[in-house]
Amino acid sequence: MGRNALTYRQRLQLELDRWRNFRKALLRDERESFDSLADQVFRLCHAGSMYPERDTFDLLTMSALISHEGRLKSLEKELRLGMKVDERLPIRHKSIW
Amino acid sequence: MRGYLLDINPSGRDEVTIWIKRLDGRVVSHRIKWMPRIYVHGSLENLVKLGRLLSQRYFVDFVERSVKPGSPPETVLEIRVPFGSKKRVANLILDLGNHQLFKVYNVDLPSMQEFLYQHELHPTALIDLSNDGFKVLDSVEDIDYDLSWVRVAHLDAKVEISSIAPRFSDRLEEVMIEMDGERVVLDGGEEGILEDLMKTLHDLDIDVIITDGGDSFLLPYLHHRAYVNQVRLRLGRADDPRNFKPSSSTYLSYGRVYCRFRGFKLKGRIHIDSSNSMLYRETGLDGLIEVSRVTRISIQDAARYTIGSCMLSLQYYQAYRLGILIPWKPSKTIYMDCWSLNKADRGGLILDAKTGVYWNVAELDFKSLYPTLMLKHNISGETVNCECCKDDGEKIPELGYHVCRRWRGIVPRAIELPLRKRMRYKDLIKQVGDGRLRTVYKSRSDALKWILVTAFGYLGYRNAKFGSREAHLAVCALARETLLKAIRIAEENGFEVIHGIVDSLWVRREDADDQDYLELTKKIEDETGLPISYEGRYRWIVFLPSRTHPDRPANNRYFGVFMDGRLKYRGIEARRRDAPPIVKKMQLEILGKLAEAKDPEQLREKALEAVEIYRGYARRLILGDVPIEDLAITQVLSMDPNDYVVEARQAVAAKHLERAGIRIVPGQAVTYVIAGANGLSKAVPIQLIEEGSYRLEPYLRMLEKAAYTMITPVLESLRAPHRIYDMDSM
Repeated sequence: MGRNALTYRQRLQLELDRWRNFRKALLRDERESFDSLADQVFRLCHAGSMYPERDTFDLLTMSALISHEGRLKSLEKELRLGMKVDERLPIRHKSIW
Repeated sequence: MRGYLLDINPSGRDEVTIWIKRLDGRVVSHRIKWMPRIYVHGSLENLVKLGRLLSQRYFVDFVERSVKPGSPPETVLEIRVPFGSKKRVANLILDLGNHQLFKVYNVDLPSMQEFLYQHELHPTALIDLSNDGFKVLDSVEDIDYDLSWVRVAHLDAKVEISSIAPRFSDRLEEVMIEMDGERVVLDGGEEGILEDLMKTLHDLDIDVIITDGGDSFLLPYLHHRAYVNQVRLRLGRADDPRNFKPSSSTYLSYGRVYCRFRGFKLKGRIHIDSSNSMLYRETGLDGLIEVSRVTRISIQDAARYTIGSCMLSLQYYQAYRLGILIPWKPSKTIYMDCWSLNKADRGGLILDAKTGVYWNVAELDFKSLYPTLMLKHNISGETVNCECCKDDGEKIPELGYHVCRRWRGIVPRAIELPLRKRMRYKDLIKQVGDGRLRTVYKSRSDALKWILVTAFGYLGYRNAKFGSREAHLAVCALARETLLKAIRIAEENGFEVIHGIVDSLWVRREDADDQDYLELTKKIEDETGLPISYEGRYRWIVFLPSRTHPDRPANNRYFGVFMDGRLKYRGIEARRRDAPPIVKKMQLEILGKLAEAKDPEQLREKALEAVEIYRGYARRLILGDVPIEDLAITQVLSMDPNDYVVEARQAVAAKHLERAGIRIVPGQAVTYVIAGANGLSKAVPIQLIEEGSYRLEPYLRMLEKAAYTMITPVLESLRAPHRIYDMDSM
């Protein structure tokens, strides 16, 4: 059977394409951020494809948040610092001070 | 009389000739009165009227059959029709019933298959023929059936060519027959050659003739030469088809265009055209015979059928045996709204690889995952969302479908045999020491794999007799769940999952050895209840980024080397059909060089050495030190050469050939060399090219791209051992 419905990957690409005017207005470094965020979102396609009934933008946002969370965590780990800016932030690494 | 069933063919209106190779080696034919049958369903009153009308011309009878799998038998009208008139009679009946009163069945069930089903026969079966019919002494289940009696010869001819390709009007120069490594060459006058050919075939007692292009050229050509020289040529053991004109048809499968020629079938002797038989090309005679036994299709037909048609025969046989009729045109379009389609219509799960080089990675593959799921969960067109098990049927994850518990589906019944046999062959391959036997088992197992692959594809095919879209979607959902489960198990056991595609997983743990990976394999197998194989441990593997988005991974583009030195590569030029040999050779050489590396430091050195390999190739290309065949690009034409809107190279090459008198139809391949920038010199067919007249630039670019694909990811990953913005540490 051929596929009839678009894959999540295709839907994601379509959603990003809809933002092209928005992207066009971004300054260069902002545009680079936009593109790298898009790449990060694509890394979570396996999860997005398991929730097809959800709106694509919701999935995109959640994936972007998760990618940020992951990057935050690895930054924390790298710095080995207690970035205790907010009580709600879970801190797993001990402060070196 | 005992012997092996070699071939069957219809003879006359109501007779089948079966060809038997007796145990003493003699081939005899035996005729059996038999006619193909079609069935009509309708109200009893109308059936009686129809029966009365048709009985003037045909044998008719009232019999009990199920019109749907799982439904109780009903009275239907059975009509015996002469060979080749099933469709005509069926259309007549439909017309008589105004296309409302009657439904016709078993119309597109090929007659010879019906004959084999009815007599529980299969090609190459050992049978005992007596006056009261025949008894079959072996079974399609058998693994170690005897084929030593089959006498195989390769047939080829040399033609006095007047242009770049042979034509019917060209004189026959020589005929070559090769058997068991010995070669017989027949030459002299055409008349003599043809007569000698018949005599040789007879004297050597050939059972199987293998040709390259026998359907499209060689056999019709030999017959034409025989006609010109007034020789009565007979290549089979009875008269050959007369006035045979080669013709081709084009079809589309999985997005690719293929071309198939009408088969030149012989009687009492089997003709296989290797260029017109995908199954023979891929799996040889052993694979072909295995498929024709398992699916009960005569060898000459199985060689020319698509794999899908071979697989369907398994389903037809199951239906036939259970007294279930096969609908002609299944007309049950059930509509689905967009919302449920969006939810259900998804393929397998893909977990993107993170690009880069990984060390100590294991690959685990579920064995025949889709067919196994179909068998285990009883997935068939009639069992998914059946009427009878709405409340207590087995539930399909994600979709909320249910599967029947009361009726075993036709599809799982049909795939059980090939699935079981394939597993046995795979086990045997590991056990037997005899190399020749191992190749035989490997071919058979490969051939059955093809059957199993199509079994899933046909579930959702619009003309499938025993499939449905829901069944197709259900299998996909089950497969996704299986892979997710396996990923979870791997993670719980301390492994990192790097990549997953549909039924394969790549996992890693720094300190893991084969034993650890085997234990994980066992655990996944136990918990999912599905067989999984441990493909091996990669010393290192490189997952490549996408070409268009360098920061996104591409699925199925990787290369690596196993601990035992085996190489595996996918999606790179070395695997592509349309890459010229020079590019493939270079990539394999580079891969061989990289494979020597045992640790990251060595890998860097080897990558730098690989750059030299690329330079060497580029230098030879510039100096013109490359044979022209190494630059040949082979591409399949997807449409008529004149229909291309842009000037595609393959179309230009095909037009060249057309001028020289060779017509290329869609699905056929052309091989060309890039010679100029545009116009007709853009792509010159290999048959017409002059040595050394190629265009340098595109080939240099191809080499560069292919080398870049392999070397850059290796060097890059070594330059930055860990990136901060990486989700690996999540």
